[in-house]
Amino acid sequence: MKVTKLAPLRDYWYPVAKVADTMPKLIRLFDEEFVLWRSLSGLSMVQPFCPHRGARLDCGSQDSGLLVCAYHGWQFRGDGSCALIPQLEANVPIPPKAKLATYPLIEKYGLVWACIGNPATQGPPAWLEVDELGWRAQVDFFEIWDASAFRIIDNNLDQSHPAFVHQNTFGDPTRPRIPHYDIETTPNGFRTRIPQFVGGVGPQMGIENEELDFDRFQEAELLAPLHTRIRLEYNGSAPDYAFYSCATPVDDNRAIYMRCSALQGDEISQPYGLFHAYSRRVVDEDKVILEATNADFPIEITAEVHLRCDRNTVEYRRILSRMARSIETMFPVSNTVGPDQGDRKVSGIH
Amino acid sequence: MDYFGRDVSRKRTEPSLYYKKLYDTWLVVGWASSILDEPVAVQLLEQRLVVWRDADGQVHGAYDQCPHRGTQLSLGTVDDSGCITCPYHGWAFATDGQCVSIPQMAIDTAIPKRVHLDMVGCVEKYGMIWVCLGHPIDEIPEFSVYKDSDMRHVECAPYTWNCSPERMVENFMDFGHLGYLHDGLLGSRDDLEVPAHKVITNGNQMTCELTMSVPSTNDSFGVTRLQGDRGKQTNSYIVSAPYTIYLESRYHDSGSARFLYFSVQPLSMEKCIGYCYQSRDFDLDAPDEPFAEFQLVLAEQDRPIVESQFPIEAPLVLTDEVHLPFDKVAISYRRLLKDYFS
Repeated sequence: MKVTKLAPLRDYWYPVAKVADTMPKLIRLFDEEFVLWRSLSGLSMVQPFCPHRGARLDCGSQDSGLLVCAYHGWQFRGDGSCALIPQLEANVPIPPKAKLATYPLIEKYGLVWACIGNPATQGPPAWLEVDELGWRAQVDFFEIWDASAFRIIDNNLDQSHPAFVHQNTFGDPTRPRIPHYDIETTPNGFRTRIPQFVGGVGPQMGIENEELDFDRFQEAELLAPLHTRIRLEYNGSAPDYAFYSCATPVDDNRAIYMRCSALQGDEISQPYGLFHAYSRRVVDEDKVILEATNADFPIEITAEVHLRCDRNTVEYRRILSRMARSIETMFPVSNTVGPDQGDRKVSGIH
Repeated sequence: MDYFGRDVSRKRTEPSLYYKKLYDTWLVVGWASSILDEPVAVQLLEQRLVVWRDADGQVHGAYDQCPHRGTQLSLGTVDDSGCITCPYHGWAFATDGQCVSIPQMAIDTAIPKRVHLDMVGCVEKYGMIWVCLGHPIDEIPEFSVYKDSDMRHVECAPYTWNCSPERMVENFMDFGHLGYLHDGLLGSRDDLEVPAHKVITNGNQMTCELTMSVPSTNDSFGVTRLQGDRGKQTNSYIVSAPYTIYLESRYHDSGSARFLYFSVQPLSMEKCIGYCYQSRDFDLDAPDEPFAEFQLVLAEQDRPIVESQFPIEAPLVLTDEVHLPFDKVAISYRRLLKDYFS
């Protein structure tokens, strides 16, 4: 299954930019383009092309809170309506067709979240540790990876890879076995709680010595089809922390890897610099492997071999295949696929 | 069939619907001055072609493919008799495409008739090389002041853009963007209203005349012929389907004029090269570089914008984009193209 072929994914919210990014900015989401810009009434995401002559609007400017097309200077407001066509004589009304399609946005956690489908929820999933417990939150990573969004989330939920992929950080190939764990389904996904015995993770709790071993619980939760929460609990022996990840589908082969962390400790007991440098090492170990995976993610359980320790990732495939079947029953299979943009349109000649 | 009516035996990409008419059109493929005594590879409508000049100075064009092993003949040489020789096995072809020498064959063996190049129509006119892949239905659009001895003539740099040919042509005569995108050069942002104008279509041509206010660029380029900071200029366009524009720009102050002859080579429907020949009846002793440089500056302002346009081809169904009264030229041009291609 490729990301753009699973239409219901469009109904969720994805971080497409940081609030502080330079704009106007070209955004690619589910292999479609959009332009994100700062209007008088706040951030606005619009169709990428001017309705007049199809010039790409991120070539333009956002002077005085209006999006100005670089070609003929047409000006648009945050709601997509056209404020000015400089070539028109005064008193001539602006034609109603001169407007841009807009898409809903939410600013949260310093990120801009967009939904280009019919929003399934009012906004991005709530982050318990940030919203309710008030832990220190920051965006650790926001970067494009050459990997399918499915692969990134699958890797987030996967229990047995750290022993091998993360050998140079916290994995130990001599301890590959995973204890039995149960799955608790939630309204939007599922949650598991797994005891772990790991070495090397000290820097994430402000401990520079990477030789120490720790007992901990990992709570892993699928919050939405491409959103996870991982909380690591040390039973009071060290400050806890949580990660929220989202893989924003850029296209079938690329995703924005967004990860935000929330730290229980303060800057003295759990310095962010140490935490982040260690996280970078761990995440880069995943990135190398994920960028080598196939973008076509098998969602049918029978397509692969699964072990008991793979319950998380099996459950993830079940959720996705249920989603795929739900659209198959609503529409014939061919309708679940978006319009093929590969063919050159030859309008008006046939 | 090739240009000389022979069977084209070898397999080649079939022309798309869009291309059918373009096959029967003379299209520019380069400056005549760039074809000397070596064969030159050119691309037109996704086809690889070779153009060469014989000893008499005549130009010839063929598919750039030896019938023997498909080698590009443009890597070969041209001999004194105008024959083009393949660099691989030395087979030589006369200017009608017929193979006249196969060095590997015994001397008294006749060369089979079917060993020939697939020739295309190729002529030199107005300092440009023109190719027709099929059988031409129209004349090459006229450029009346070409080589007028009372004028000074400049070949501008070819503009290679990743866009469709019709978007490039349309941009050349798009009045609404002149003052906006070329602020200070072809107009100004405080005066963007497009003056009333008429477009008259007649067969495969349309004409249009527009008088507008233009800024003097004499400080930076010295290419305008105006007395003050601004002056009136009347632009008269003759657009010939599909991709040629003849423009006369006359300054009211001085009565002097510049003449631009602009034609576009479609490498494919998504990439093209524009050739602009510029003639002027003033500053006859001044250097030509500023005039070519001026066109290049304008082209570089246009390029990223036109390359960004979507869809890549200009929609010939008029409801697919917004058109306003000042877009009359674009509307007429799209109708002209629609008629031309149907």
